[in-house]
Amino acid sequence: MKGVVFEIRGSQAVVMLNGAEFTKVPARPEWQVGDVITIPRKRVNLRVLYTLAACLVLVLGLGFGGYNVYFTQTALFSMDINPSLEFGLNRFDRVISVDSLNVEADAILQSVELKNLTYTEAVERLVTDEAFGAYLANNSYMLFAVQANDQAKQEQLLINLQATADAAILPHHQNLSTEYYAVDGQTVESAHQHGMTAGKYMVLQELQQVAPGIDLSEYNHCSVSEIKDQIQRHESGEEHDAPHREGH
Amino acid sequence: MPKELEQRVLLAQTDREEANRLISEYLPLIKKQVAGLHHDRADYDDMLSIAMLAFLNAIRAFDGKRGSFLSFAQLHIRSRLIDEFRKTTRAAGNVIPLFPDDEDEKLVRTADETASIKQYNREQERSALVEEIKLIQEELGRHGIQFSELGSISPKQDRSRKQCTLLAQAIVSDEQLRQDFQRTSRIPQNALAEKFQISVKTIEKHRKYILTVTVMLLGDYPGIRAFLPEEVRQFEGRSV
Repeated sequence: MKGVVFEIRGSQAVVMLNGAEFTKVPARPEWQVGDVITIPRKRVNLRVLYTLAACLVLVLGLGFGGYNVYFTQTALFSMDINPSLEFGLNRFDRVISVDSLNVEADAILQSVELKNLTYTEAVERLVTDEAFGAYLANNSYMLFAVQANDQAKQEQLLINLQATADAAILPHHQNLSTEYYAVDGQTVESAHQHGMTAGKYMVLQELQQVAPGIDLSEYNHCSVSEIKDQIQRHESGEEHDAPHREGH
Repeated sequence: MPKELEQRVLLAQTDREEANRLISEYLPLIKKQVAGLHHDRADYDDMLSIAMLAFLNAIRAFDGKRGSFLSFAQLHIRSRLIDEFRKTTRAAGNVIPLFPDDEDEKLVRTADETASIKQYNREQERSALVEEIKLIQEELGRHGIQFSELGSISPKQDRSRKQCTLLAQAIVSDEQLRQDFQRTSRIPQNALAEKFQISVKTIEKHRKYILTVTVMLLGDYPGIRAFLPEEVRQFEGRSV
């Protein structure tokens, strides 16, 4: 999708996309104000994707046993700052799928390859990516959500993700808080119906508890920091009605 | 009347309002250029934006000595679209068959076309947009809106953005609403709510975004207009 660069401040650019949608993205070094740029927009229909994946697994399972095992998803985890990414893992703890759930994540995936890495390698590669690092530097919250049918696996994933992410992130970004959720398949399904990761869905549930009238889909593209800010505002009584983000 | 058009083009080089009018009047012609392309339907909006920018560039580059402006503009648009297509598809070779059955294109489009001409056109395009962006920034600043907050105030759903754009268009096209806005610098929320049967709360939620689009429609920003929703691209604004 085409857009015009309106402003560049530090590592962030304000871009007006075609259709007058404004967004903030990591600025590429060659950009200047007034440049017409292309932001990749990949719309992933997760239902179709999972259905196709299931069919693929079935077809492959009939004749390609080992191949089938490798591409069978046994767990997933998501990362949210405002790039929202969801990773499918196989039984060998390797990344077999990476889905972006917003424009910011689309842009990140253009420059970093994460498939077939172990999940800890994938997290380390992502947090050391320059474009992703800009989000870490400019936000206060990052969420992880983990789902696996096997509870022992889920617990192990949580422990290892926390150890890996905190070791890689916190020494360089002291202002960032990381939160971890263990979620079930039903929560993942509900989150996908709203077009978001389970992690973002969980934090929006928290917002909905303090602001019952909100429409979750209106917050789909908010950063976690923005949602957390809304929660704090409602808890402190600064926001009384259905929240609006401009805050005036 | 070709001569009259050429005179209007020369006037439009320094008069953004006239440039805006020309783009609105000739938008069907510009759309026809894009419609003749081989492209993914999902890219149509982007291609149309590029074509509108190229038309604006042609206005600026026309010196009155090159014959008909429309032929000049048509060539300009095709050149820009081919350039864009080449960049996005990374096609190799000297001739890009973007326009089917077009012999003229084969004559014009070769890999030997000087890079400096392309670079000059891009610089012109960018500097025109920079000028408009600066003016928009000043105007929005008067209303207390900074560029840095545009990302957070922009509705994320297409449906909401279109609704807000139509509200902005209504402000600009209704003389009373427009005068109220220009006098008070405020969105006439109650009048819009009544007219469109929308809750005041909804309008309030998107107040800053509606105001931003209103500013863009009221001013003469033909380059930025190329990136507004298609429903309002042909809309002729009124100067603030």
